[in-house]
Amino acid sequence: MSDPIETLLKNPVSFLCDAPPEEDIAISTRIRLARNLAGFPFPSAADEESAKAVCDRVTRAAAESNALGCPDCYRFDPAEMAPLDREILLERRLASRDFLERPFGTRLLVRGDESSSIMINEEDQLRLQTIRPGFRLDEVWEEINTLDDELSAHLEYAYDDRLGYLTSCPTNLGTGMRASVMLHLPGLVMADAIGPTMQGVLKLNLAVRGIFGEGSDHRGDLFQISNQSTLGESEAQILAHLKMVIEQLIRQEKNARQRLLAQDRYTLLDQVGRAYGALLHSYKLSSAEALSSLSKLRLGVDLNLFGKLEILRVNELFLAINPAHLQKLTGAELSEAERDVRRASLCRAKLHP
Amino acid sequence: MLCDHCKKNEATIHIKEIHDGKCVSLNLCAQCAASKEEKGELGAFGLNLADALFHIGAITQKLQQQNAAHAGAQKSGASDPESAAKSTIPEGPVCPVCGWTPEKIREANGKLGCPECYRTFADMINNAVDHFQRGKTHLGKHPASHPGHAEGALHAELQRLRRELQNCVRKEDYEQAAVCRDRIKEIQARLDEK
Repeated sequence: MSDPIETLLKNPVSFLCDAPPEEDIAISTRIRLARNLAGFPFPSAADEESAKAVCDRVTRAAAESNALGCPDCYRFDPAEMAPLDREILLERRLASRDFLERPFGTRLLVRGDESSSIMINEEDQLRLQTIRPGFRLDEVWEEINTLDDELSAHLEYAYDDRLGYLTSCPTNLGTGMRASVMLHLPGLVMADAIGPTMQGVLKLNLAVRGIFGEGSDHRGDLFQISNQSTLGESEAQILAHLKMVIEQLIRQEKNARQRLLAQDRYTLLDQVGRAYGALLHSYKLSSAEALSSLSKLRLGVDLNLFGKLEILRVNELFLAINPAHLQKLTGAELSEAERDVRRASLCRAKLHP
Repeated sequence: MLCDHCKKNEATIHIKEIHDGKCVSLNLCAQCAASKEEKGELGAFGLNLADALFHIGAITQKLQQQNAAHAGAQKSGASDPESAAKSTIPEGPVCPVCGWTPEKIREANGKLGCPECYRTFADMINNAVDHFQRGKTHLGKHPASHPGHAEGALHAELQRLRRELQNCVRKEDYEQAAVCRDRIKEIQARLDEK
């Protein structure tokens, strides 16, 4: 059988590459559900035998219910994978760092188009994920809810009348649901309005994070907004609240862009132009510089400053410039300095008019 | 702005959290944030997440004090010295299924050992849930095999929300009052369905 990582790499990542062009500010929508099986310890207390038993049970349930198109889905056992291959799963947002570093019992099942997946034995025994391009909370919920129902017909979940789905950490208790939307907000960053805006978001009981899930770094002007509370409201209420705030943020970003164009047009054009220049003519590009330049270029494309350049080409680079993808696409392990050279050459080639 | 930790590099990561009603902030450079995250110190500002959630430090301390007082009483009663020495070890609740204790939960940064822990450490968890969740009762979906929401739990949540609504109105916190009102409506609708 061919190496599944190589097969993954041949396909563009759906959450970055399939978005209709009008959805330029919201890049992707993701929902995760945390579930555990009744009668088994949570992964942090499980020994190898118990973790493997859970892993087998969930794999069997996925195959029997035909969830994710299993048994014809991708199947990865991180403990047996090369470190670089594991990083590919992280960069494609299919797995978390914590999951990939666990010593035993972990398995990742992924639908062929990478839209839905199950991490087995992460912080919880099951972490279901559905991710789609653009701002589509309802559609993503419908998809993950179906996946959850298919699995629950074959598995007995740990569930309590009052507390809902029992999770390893009580911060996920109840619905076990984290819904998030990734937003590209260069206008608010440039207009120096991002700080107060995000403080407002925090006050509304939502969380703000950087591009790949953890940490608060917002390089590339990408922000992930998600629900904080999981107990005391239904999934529909949580999603409605998140939707309202995201719509408001999109409006604010659009206004900030229009204001910049009207009041500070040449500063905006200059920044976008310099970023394009750096991507087209550099011979060494660090990951940070590439991300920040791509973000400005993306803003330029959104504002129709480049006639021919397609946003999907820019989106694709957001993934391809990451260290593991860069090395796998080159077919060799590269030092940081070598990666910077390779990254610059990739950007020159992909963006050449 | 300089990093609060090393005081050398520019702080690029800014975290704000609300503790006991006070807003506290932490500004870190990328290196210090990465090293703190690696050590699991970023949750709730260098505090263990479990401490922040469950105040386990305080619970352990209280148990130690209780045990010390107990040991002292035993000593004056001239009981055998071995049992007095043993009782200085804190004896918190122990989960009968996975064997976890509050101290173990602290080591695991706030994670629990198994579903049964929710029953064993119910008091501790209920207190924590009050702090970081918007409600106390699950109102979301349930597994297909499960009968659904218990009516009693819904009634209890309804009463709690009504009290909260009155408080909000008294404090003129109309934003929160509106949230309560919507949740009351939803629970009422569920009870009407039953």
